[in-house]
Amino acid sequence: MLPGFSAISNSEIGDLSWTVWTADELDDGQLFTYVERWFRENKAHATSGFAGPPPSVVDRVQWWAGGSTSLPAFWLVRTHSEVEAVVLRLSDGVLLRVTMPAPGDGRGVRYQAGPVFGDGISVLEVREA
Amino acid sequence: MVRSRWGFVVGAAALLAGIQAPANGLGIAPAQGPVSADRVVVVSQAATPTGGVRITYLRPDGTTATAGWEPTSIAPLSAFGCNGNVCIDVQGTGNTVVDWGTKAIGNVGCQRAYFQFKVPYASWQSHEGPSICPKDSRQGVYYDYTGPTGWFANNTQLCNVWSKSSGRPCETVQS
Repeated sequence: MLPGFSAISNSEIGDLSWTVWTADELDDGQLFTYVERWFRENKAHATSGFAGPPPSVVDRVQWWAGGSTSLPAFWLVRTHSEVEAVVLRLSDGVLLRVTMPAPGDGRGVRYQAGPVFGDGISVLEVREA
Repeated sequence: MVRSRWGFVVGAAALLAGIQAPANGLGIAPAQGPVSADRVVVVSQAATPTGGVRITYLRPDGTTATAGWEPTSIAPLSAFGCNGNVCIDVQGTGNTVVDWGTKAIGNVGCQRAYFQFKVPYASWQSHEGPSICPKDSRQGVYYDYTGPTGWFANNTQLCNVWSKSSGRPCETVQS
């Protein structure tokens, strides 16, 4: 993985695995966070994410959503420590409530990521629950 | 619509509409409407993330030769993602980027895109796109597909920002 990043969490569903990585240090005030995901079977592999000032009491929920060839669509969320759950709004109208794990780094930021399965289904919005 | 390398499109109201989950043989069955419990329901099916095609030819001497296509062990680079009002779209294979574009949703007047990339242990470099000005005050989508292309070192970070829109989505180059 990228030098200067630490793994926050490791997850898997069946043959699909993913790891959330966040930078050890801020880069010009911005925190980089990525979700690396891969299929063990066919070696499809991608690492995507976003950067920006870390979550704060004002900007409590930050997220990325996207996709990559041969992998399911994915979402990545990081929140202020006070945010215990978020709601994902999918393109088919479904709302998913997701619990945020305990803060994953020394900054008190919570991180969570996961796949979205289904043709054409994507994450349209993530907000605090 | 004829796509030029950069410009502004009016009427694209669907934020993140470009995100498409690839057909991968997997399915999810999340509960409809708000869910009261913290859960993501996943229905597991036989996973065939990438299909394969194999054609066997019969030679005159009775032996066979196989041609076709199989899933590659080279990680695909083609990726699309959004953060805030900014999206990144990178196409390529392995360490080679053949097309790098970005979009920004909304109408904030004239603005330009920046294509940023960082090779491990090096400083950020930035390519500046042209200034793009909407013709009126309607909402729309800015787009710029003039990002740098070619070979990038492993683990190079590719990010996009726009001068007035918020968001900084990133992809990484991996072979």
